[in-house]
Amino acid sequence: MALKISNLSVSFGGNRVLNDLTIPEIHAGEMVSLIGKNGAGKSTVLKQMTKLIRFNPHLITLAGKPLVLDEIGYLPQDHRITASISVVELLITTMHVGSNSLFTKADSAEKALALLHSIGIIHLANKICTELSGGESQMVGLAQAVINKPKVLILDEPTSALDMSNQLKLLEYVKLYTRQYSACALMVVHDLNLAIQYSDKVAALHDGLLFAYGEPTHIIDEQLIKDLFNVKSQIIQLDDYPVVVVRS
Amino acid sequence: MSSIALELTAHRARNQKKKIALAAFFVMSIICLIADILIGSQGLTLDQVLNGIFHPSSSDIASRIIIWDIRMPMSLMAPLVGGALALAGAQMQTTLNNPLADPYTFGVSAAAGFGASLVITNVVAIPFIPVEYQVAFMAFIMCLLTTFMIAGVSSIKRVSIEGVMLFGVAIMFAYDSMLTMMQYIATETQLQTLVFWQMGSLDRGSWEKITVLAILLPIVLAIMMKDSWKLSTLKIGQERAESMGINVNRLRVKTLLLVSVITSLSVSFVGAVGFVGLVAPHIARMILGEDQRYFLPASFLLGAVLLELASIASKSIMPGIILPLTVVMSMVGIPFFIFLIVKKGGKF
Repeated sequence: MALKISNLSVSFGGNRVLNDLTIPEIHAGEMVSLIGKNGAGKSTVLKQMTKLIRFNPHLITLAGKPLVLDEIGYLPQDHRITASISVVELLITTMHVGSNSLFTKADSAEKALALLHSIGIIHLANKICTELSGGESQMVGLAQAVINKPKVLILDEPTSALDMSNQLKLLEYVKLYTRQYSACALMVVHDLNLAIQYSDKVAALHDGLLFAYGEPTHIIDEQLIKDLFNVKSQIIQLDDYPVVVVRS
Repeated sequence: MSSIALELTAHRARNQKKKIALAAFFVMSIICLIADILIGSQGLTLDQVLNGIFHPSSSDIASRIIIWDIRMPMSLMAPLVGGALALAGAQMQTTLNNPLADPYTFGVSAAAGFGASLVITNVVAIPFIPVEYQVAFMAFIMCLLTTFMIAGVSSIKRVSIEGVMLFGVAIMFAYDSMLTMMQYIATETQLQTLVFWQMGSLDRGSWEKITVLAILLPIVLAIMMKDSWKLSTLKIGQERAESMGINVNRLRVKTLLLVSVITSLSVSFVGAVGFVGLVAPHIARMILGEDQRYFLPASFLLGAVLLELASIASKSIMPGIILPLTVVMSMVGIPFFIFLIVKKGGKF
């Protein structure tokens, strides 16, 4: 099973944001990070994916068939939840979104709580979503994205509001999820060290084009960082792990 | 007890609380309805009222006429119109994701006033419709047109939710100025009729109007309830709702069309009543949250209770005089609104 995204082109008011972008196949269990400077088209790829599935399904396929919305879990960049419902109610709602019945499926609360427990946020279960902090709502957003066991996870800057500990907690869970459910994860990540540590592949975007693609330790180097972000950097080895240090 | 078991118990207790609250709102609406029928210039006892309602054949003719021909048509309009306007406000706030949205703030009530003014000032005369119904009919048509326009604008993809709100506000000002124009050209008698119509009054209630609302409202509520999971998801966030396969535009337009029908009928039947559509959903939200399966019936029942209380107050504040509903609702609504703003620091 592989996720294939081909020939994405997007223009906003005559300005071409994505230019016939094709991302090599993403295999089951793989995590792929999109990196690049602001405006490179990273979030546009993710947003377009959720739109194209509805309007131009042949551009995105999973195992050779057009990807359908039931198969994706999406965590948007704007992670605020604007409904005055509890976290567990949010998950139960997400489990019943296509249902016409007012009654909930058996064990839906138990399933939602088990998920929150496995992510490590069971203490938020009965908190009201509008009262969550930015980081908390991002963690809850991850739970919402995976509650229906999707085959493809689309995560737009999933760690932007998280402290260091929760960044690791979230990405560890995504890694576990992709391996356990043979799912693909495509995410926008700004922290290159997190991208190196948690991605199987990295797609570097520049001006709406795929600039480089491959394993993070192979493609992320000082030159790529200079080309993408126009900053000086140094890659040092720490316990056989490359670490990006940005220099002024 | 494990943390999962503890949270499950808390979740179940929360659900139980919602069911109890819904039952309490229902009981309150029945008690307020009976109290509303009880209160009037002709002093009737509770026994006489209950006997007149449940055993009309055994009560005297005077009581029967007072209860069935005068008080019940007025009193039954209160829960139906209050419920309808609250439901309309709740759905406008949900689909447009704006806590200030309600039929009043979107100019729908102003549209009704303008429609009524066209008939009252003899600018428009509608053939084949009895004169007493022409005002209500024209108010209904203008309301319907306005909510259709709002639904139409909200269906345009490039128009944001804020844009829809601004369109509503612009409509309200447009109708207000046209209404002022009609007042300017009206004769003294026409002006008096027009002002009274705008104040809103339950004494325009009749069994025919009650039948229309009593048949229509359960149908509209049932259609909305069928969409409750989708509406809850839309309230969680539009982007997420779209990624889950919800056709947000279609859901929004469908809901606003339903809102337009119940609002138009209610306002054309009793005149413009402000604040019910704004305040009732806010109280429902504070007590029960926004799981639409509970939020929608709770808004309806609280709207019913609020207008019943307003009706009781309109008859009780100055004995012998029935104060205009709009005045009474504003007396309750404005302090509550200020309380909401202060309590939440302007955040909703």
